[in-house]
Amino acid sequence: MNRRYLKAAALLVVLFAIFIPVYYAFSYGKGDGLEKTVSEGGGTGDESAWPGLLGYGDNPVATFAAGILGLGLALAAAYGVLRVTRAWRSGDGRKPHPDPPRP
Amino acid sequence: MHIPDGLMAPAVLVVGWILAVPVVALAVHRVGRYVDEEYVPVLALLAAGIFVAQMLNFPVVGGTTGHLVGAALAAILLGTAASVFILTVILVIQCLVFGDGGVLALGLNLLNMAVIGALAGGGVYALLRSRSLKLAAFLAAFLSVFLGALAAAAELGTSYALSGGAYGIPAVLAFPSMALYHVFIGIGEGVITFGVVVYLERVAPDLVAAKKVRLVGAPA
Repeated sequence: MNRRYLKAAALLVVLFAIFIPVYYAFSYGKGDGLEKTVSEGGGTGDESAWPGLLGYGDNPVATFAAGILGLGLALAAAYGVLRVTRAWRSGDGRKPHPDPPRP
Repeated sequence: MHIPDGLMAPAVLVVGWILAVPVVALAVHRVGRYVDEEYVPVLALLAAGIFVAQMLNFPVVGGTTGHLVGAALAAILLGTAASVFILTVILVIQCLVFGDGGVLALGLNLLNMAVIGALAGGGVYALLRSRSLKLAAFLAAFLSVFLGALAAAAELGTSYALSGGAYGIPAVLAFPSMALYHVFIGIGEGVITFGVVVYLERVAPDLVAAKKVRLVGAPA
């Protein structure tokens, strides 16, 4: 990954760190639109078939750590799936579509 | 707007998977075939950025919060197929790693946020961008959230009707409530998307003008 992308990734981490206190001050623990709708309508829905390996954390430090982990996982998963898909196409003799000339 | 397990009727969950999986498969195929090599890291970085943005809720009316979905932003920058691909990666990680959204309900979450969000966002943007790129970005983002929310309301109402009240909530309650909250959440999504597009237009115009990988037809 070149310097431009590293700078963009670093900017994301910085912005995330800046906005975590704002999130905790104004939004933490409050339900989203779906949760409010369901609770007001008398519905239920927390029988998790899979609780997840981790949570988002209940304090700014834990949430920051979860965010960095998620950022890395999303980056690696998107990049990895794309690489595998493109490699599979190449190995199959079906090259990825050639890039058209840039205007 | 992540649907948990136990909220929707099993038949509705099945329909969600049936509708979402073919679109996701098509999107992965199209992105693998058509995305430019130089945009592979951009696409991965956009997935990471949207993941982080989705963690930060903002307050809206009545003690409710909302967060960026990002389907319209991804569709505006890289195309509808790329948006479905990115949102799918994010939703799967949120579900399996962080327990955000039910694993049985993942099909519905993919349908509401990845598929409907990307199609609405990408479609509105394609229709309006020739008139005003900024207005197109705002409306695309707003409608991507609002239409996804209406789909969730329909799923809640259908679940209630199919199960005799064991799942979901009545449609007469679900539609007005989801519409009310998501008008404000959609405006938040529109403002954030508008801001990001305006910023990128100034600092990275090549990204806004990047080739769009669509679900059908040649890249544009």
